[in-house]
Amino acid sequence: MKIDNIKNSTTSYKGFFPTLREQPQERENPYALRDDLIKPLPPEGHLVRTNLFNAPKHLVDGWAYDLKSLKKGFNGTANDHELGKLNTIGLVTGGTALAAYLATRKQVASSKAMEFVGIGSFLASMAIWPVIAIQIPTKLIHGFNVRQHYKDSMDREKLFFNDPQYLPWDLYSDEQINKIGNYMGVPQDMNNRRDYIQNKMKKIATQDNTLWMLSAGFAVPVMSALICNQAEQPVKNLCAYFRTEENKKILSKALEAKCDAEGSDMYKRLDSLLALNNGQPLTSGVVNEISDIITYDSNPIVNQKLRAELANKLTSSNSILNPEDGGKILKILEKNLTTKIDSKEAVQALVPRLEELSEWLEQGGFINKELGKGDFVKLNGLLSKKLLEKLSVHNSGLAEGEKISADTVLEAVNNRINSKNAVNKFRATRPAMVLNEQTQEMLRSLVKELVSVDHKSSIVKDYIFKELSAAPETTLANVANSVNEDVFKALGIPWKEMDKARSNRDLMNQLLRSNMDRIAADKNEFETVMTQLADIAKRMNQFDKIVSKRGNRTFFEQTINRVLNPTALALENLGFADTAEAFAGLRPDSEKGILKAFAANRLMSIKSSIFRLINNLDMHRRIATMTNVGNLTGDELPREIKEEIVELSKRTQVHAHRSDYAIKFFFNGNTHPDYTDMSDIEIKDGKVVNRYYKAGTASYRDVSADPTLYRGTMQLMYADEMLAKTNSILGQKLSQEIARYRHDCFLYFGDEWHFVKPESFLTDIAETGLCEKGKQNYHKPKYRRSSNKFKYLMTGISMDDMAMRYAKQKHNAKSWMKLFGGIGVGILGATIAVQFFFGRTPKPLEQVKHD
Amino acid sequence: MLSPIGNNLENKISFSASNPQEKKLNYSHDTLLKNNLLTRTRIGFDKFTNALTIYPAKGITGNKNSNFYEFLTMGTIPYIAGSAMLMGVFNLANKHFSHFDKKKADVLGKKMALGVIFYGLAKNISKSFVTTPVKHLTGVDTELPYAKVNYELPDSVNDTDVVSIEYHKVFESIEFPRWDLLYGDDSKGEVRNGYYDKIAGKLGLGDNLNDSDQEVKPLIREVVVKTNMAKTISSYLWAATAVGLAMQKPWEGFMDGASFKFWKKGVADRTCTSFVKAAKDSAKLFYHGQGQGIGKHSGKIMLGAAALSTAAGVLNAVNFTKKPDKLDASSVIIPTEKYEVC
Repeated sequence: MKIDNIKNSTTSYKGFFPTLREQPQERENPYALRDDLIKPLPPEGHLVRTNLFNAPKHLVDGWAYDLKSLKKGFNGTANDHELGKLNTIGLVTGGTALAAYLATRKQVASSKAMEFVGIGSFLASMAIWPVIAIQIPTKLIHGFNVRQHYKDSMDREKLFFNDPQYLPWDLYSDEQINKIGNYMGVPQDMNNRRDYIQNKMKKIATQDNTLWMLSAGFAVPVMSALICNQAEQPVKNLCAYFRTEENKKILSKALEAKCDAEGSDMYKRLDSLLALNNGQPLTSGVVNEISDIITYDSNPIVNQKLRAELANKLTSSNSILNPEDGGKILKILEKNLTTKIDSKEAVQALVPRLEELSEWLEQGGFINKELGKGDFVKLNGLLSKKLLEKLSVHNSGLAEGEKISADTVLEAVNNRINSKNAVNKFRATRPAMVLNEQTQEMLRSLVKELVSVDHKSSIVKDYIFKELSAAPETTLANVANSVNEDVFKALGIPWKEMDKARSNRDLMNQLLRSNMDRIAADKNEFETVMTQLADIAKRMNQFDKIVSKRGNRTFFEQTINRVLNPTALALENLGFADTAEAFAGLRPDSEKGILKAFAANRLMSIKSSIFRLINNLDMHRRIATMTNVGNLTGDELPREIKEEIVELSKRTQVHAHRSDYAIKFFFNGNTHPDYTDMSDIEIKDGKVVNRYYKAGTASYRDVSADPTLYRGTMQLMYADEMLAKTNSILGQKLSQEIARYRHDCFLYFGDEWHFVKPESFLTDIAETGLCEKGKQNYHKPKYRRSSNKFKYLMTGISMDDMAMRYAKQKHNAKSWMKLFGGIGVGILGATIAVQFFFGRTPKPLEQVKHD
Repeated sequence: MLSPIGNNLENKISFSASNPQEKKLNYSHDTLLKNNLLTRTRIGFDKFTNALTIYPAKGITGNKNSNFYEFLTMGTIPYIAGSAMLMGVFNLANKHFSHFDKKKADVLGKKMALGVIFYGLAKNISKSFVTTPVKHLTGVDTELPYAKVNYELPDSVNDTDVVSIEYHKVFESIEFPRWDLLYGDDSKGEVRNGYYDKIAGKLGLGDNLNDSDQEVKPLIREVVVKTNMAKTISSYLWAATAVGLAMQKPWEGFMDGASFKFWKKGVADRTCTSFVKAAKDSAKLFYHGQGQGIGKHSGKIMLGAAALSTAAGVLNAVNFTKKPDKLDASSVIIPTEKYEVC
């Protein structure tokens, strides 16, 4: 056969080989294609190209394939490729199950969500890492997609370079391979150029796959952690948004809430008890059981009142004897007589017959009648009298020595111990009050009211908890966190310095003091910072919807009224006036009072911290400009005390804690100041240039023992008027709020009640207005007692505490990020850099031409 | 490519049996291995060391003999490195935190580290929860290993080390199981269909079948697929359960007090006692839960899901969809009839 013929025949042949059964039809061309021969189907494999438009479909198709694989795996018909997909399904299932479990152990929504973000980021990192660290760099460096997917003829999608021993090169056209070769710089005129490029691609792919295995273990956890780190705040914001939106609807739900009171546990338990004791006397045991069932555990004070009123209503001092009680009386009587009298005959002679006793009781009018304590005394008397009559009959036939004395019988009848007394025993066991229909109805109505109000009240509490409670991620907590962050951004304190001072209170105080002086010294900077602080303070306006200053104006306050008042009215109608009062009375410990006070206190705590900052900055500016500084000017105080007042005021504002306010401060001032120098203090660059005061030169002393210093400090901090510029920046509403805060601080921190010397009280500014120069007629102010809690809330968090907390959190976050961000960048850099050295393939030897 | 003799002489390589330089291979052909602890440990060790040494070295240089087996074996690296890194993510930065923050971060970090260890252990151990019962019920050992002798291309003209051993499982590929290894060798007096006869007996197809291999092969395939599925899915659920267990509070006490300086007297005892106590308390807490609602039952649900996936997987694996009749195929063929083979 000629070579040319063979060439021609093979090029025209599109299949592979004929089967053994086939006989070549033409001897010259045995492999020529014939339609009637059995031949393989044409291959349908192709490279998969994904782009932005077909990616979603590709993704969905992938999921569908995975699910189909699961089904086939279950039926036992899956192939290798489908079984491989089950690993991904298992990984996702296990990961999701773990995230779900861990989420159930978390309290707040964002923490729950972060568990899912965690597993999601891990899975995403596993998928993304080879793309960003290997696929894209290789594409840029070597010009081909090393993670190219292809579909085989069975429509199974695989990575092209997964198995270097099986690469279906026929899926790449010559054009595609040549294009890649051009990118790689492979000479155009090379022999077997396609083979060379393919070998190079294969080598790079093998190296890349190995690099993937080597780097992924280090990179994926770090990448996942970095994603979580960055996702945390957005997730929190998202959860906060949903929570706020949800909260808006909660209060309305409280009003519309329908409660199946009759399906409640309390109602069912009561119902069984009532059915069991229907028409029975209300003994103390039954009353206790009822009291144990009907409770209001949400509020112990309400519960206490309820229990007392229930006992009062269900207990009667009177009793009723039933006809059948006669037999029981006789049994006890016989038993008591037996203990006193040895002769059985005598006892039998004395103990009346049942008919006899019944007759006595009937005649005495003791049957089916409400018997009071006096009636039981009479009954006892009757019994004694009748027994004595029987005794005289019994004794009449006996010798003197055998006679039984009357005292013996009377002792047996009038046993001092009630429970052993034949009659008194029935006082407790036969109360006159019975569990009749009316009482049962009253109890049922009571339970319905309590269950219903508890249900509604819990919705209100849920609302207020989600808005204001001292828990992570409440609306107030989120605002407080953002305040913390933004305050220090506004103050513009360099982070490096804060970082250094984060664990040292003295350093932090020094830093804060110097920065406050810096800001106060510059008009523009002061105004800028004050404007930012005012904006931060105004964020609290969003809570005006919850607590109003006076009356019940907010929807929250109205809701409390609309939930509690109808219940209180109903309880009053049922005869539970004290319980009704404990629900909706004006006392601060009523359910209504507690709900309102809780909200007000929580808001006060945060607002005080912000107002304190604003007041602090204003005071620094007032000192820097010597404006509105009360007795710091003029010749009323010696310069040494003026300097001490400024020092103590600044120190107090920056770092006085709640405990400092409680003990009235210690200060290292001079106990014997120089009264000859009455000049004004000197200010330079916002700072006081002290002539006398030197920190640490004198021992600490109790400031409350020094009324002049203490009074001057309180006045400078809280009583001297704020700057007009500050007020204009704050705006009318905020300005008034802060004025009220300062007013309260002056009264409750600075008044005589907390002051050691009885006559050293301050001016009552409630009556005289702000302390003005020349108006120093001190008189005893009105009695202003406040709780420690109130003062605790009013102090707010100190500036140094706020700064240290902020600095520590930021330091931790930055340290973590520095370490793992660095590791992440390092791994990524190394992974990319090494790819520049991949694919170095020796060029084939030049073909030697033989002439 | 064949190495020129001259090169071998140059390198003083001899193929004589007495030469100590000649590589001693354990296997000269593909060999079925026993699935016991010793073999599994040996294979595990071999694969582990190769995954950390030879295979990455070959892969990163783009060796033409690198193959998919090596790539898959190298999957150990991300597991180990990832586990270590995951522990590091929760612990390495703690020393930079302030004292109180460090203390809190340490507690969480140690628990996470314990979680990583538990995850790995549970994921591997739990596979036997499925494969062992299936083996006992059907006779099909889906984990049956064999040593594959692999002939490579020489890296250079001087390369004479062209044989490598790979450890695979007989049923690793469902499309191409190594049926051939399961046939007995007549020359050694083994029954050719011995293995298949045994499986057929276990599956209740009867004894002395004419072609037991043909009868049971489809069933074995089905068992293997179902077992692999159950093994995969349930192992992840067990792993998740183990992490849940590691997250319990009693471990904090163990990690605070435990010392791993076992060479000191009494330390090993104390640590073990403390571990057992923490494990018991954590298991109770995990099972009984805390708080109200779903949190109270989440541990039970988690454990139940893992146990259920295992039990359901085993039941599914031993329940055949197309179980053939016990009748021998020849008994339904009537000799006088004519049949057409399609």
